[in-house]
Amino acid sequence: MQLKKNLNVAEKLALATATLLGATAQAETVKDEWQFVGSILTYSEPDRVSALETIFTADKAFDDTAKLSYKIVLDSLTGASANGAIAQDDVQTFTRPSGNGQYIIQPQETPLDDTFKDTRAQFSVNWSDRLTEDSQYTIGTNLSREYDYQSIGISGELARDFDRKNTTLSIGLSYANDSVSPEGGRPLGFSSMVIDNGQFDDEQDYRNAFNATRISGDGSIDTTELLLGWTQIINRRMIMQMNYGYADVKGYLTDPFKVLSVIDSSATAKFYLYENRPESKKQHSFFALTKYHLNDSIIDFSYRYIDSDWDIKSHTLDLRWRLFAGKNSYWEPHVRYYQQSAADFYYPYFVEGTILPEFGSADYRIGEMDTYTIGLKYGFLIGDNRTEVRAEYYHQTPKSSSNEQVIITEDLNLYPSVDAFTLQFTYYFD
Amino acid sequence: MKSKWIFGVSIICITTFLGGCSSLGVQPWERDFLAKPGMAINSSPMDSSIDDHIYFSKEASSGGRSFAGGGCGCN
Amino acid sequence: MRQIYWIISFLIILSFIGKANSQLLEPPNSEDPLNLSQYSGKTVYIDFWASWCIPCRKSFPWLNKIRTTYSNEELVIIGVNLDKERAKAEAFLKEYPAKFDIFYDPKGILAEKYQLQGMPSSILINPHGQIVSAHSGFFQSKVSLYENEIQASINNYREVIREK
Repeated sequence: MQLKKNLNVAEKLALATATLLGATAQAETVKDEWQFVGSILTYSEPDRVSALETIFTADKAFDDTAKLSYKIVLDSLTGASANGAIAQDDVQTFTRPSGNGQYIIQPQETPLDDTFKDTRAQFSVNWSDRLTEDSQYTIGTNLSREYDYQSIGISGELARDFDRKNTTLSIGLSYANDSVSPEGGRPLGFSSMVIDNGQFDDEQDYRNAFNATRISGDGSIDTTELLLGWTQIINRRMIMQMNYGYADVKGYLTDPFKVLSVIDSSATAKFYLYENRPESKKQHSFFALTKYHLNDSIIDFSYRYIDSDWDIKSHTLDLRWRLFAGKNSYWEPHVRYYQQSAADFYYPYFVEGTILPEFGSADYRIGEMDTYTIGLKYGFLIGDNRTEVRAEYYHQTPKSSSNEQVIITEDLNLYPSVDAFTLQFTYYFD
Repeated sequence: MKSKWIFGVSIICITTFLGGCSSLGVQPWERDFLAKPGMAINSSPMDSSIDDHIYFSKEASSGGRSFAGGGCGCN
Repeated sequence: MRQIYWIISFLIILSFIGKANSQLLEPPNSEDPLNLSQYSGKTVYIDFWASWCIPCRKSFPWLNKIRTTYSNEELVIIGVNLDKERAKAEAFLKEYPAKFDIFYDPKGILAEKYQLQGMPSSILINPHGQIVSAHSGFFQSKVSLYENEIQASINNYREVIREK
């Protein structure tokens, strides 16, 4: 009896300590409810664009089920971008998109517009919570602002689990309104670029001619999207996801900075026309992802097929292989292959004296091309904090178009390839 | 043509899934591998949002994994 | 058309009844790996956990607290570990010490027996050996519910004893 009583005292002491431990543990979980992640990235295309991007996310958990997520992105971009015109054996002069001044392109150089200097700020908030025992919703809003472009969007998603959470079906809807307001106004589709070669009496005369190629007001784009998702656990090591997406984009889809060269039969550029794209685009996407856990690594493989009524079809293959190296670090090689067909209104140039099609653009990004990416990521701990360093190399190979009617010599390099390097550092402040 | 393609893929996927339906999935206590952060469907959301942004500005199709979006006049 | 609606409604209601019952019914009386019969007269709280399960980390401090609230005569707490490798469970216990008994079930025999719907899962057995409640998941917002159920089971038995 005496013994038992003593034991009880000892027990109670132990229990008192346990209570204290419990209290601290709970305090820790409260502290853990905020999670911050920061990422900084440099992007550079040699001789073209370079960009610096910082992203910061903050997530707060409520009541074990709800989550509030904030995201801030700051981008600064400088450099030059292909304007769509083709290289020539002579010097070419272009008017800047704003109408203020000109830029000169040397012989056999791909015309690049070096006016690009922009800063973008993006802010988004998402809220998700459990709706019932096996369903969840997410609602969010997104704001983005640049010097000449802004976007506001909302989105919502509903997901429901079935079969012991082995199957998840989801439906998402989003809507965004973008407005485009380039400095110097939007060019009139297929109007001819006004270039001051001394033919104007005065500045006002030039301005009048330039303004005649402009349309008033801002461009507006409405994007409505539907996304259906199916996530399925296959077995203890494997999970799959399939998505179907539909996007309807309406409005000013023309790129106000792009032109087409109008050339004669000897491939000499006579003048330049501002591009003109359809005011609507409809896109279907199919995406399948599978993840497989091997003994010491995880394979992440996805395939995506996209088809649009601009006739652009694309195939994307993406493979990431996370190889665990010790308890807290891993190496992750990445390869991606992408192939797209050209938009039906893609023309590398127009030929003088031929009938203009309804739409046309020489933007190589809507032409046929192959691209590949190779990258490597290293994940490790700094103190107790997860850290990632990632380097990627991206290569684009544009392909010749069936809309070519004039022989262009090799040295003019109608389809220059593009390289890009990214270096990214991510830190989890948890 | 394109709708046929999508239809074909859907049929293959659905039959594959339904065919193996009885054996698909795991018990709640067998999620040791699936619970790892690296096995999350989107295990690196930071990377995928950066990649989406880059590819959106360099290629003509976007989306699939998540909304195709817009929101930037990327050139 | 209307018939179809009736049939569907009936099936939905039936599925709910089935669910509710499965939580209350005693599982098929095969073996008794936990040797529960020895706890007759005590309320038994079984917590199913695994080292990889994030919410399980939140339930441990609470289980330790409950352990201090009642005597061993009133309440038995058993943590059934479902890790396939015992070393992982032991590493977890170093980080989140348990002040209650741990039973290792690497093959998931008990998990299968009680048809767990999620992780962690808990089962409350009253002093008469009947399952009185079962929960899937551990939510801070439901802690008072869990505590009330344990309290009620203990109180009910006290009254039974007093009446006798």
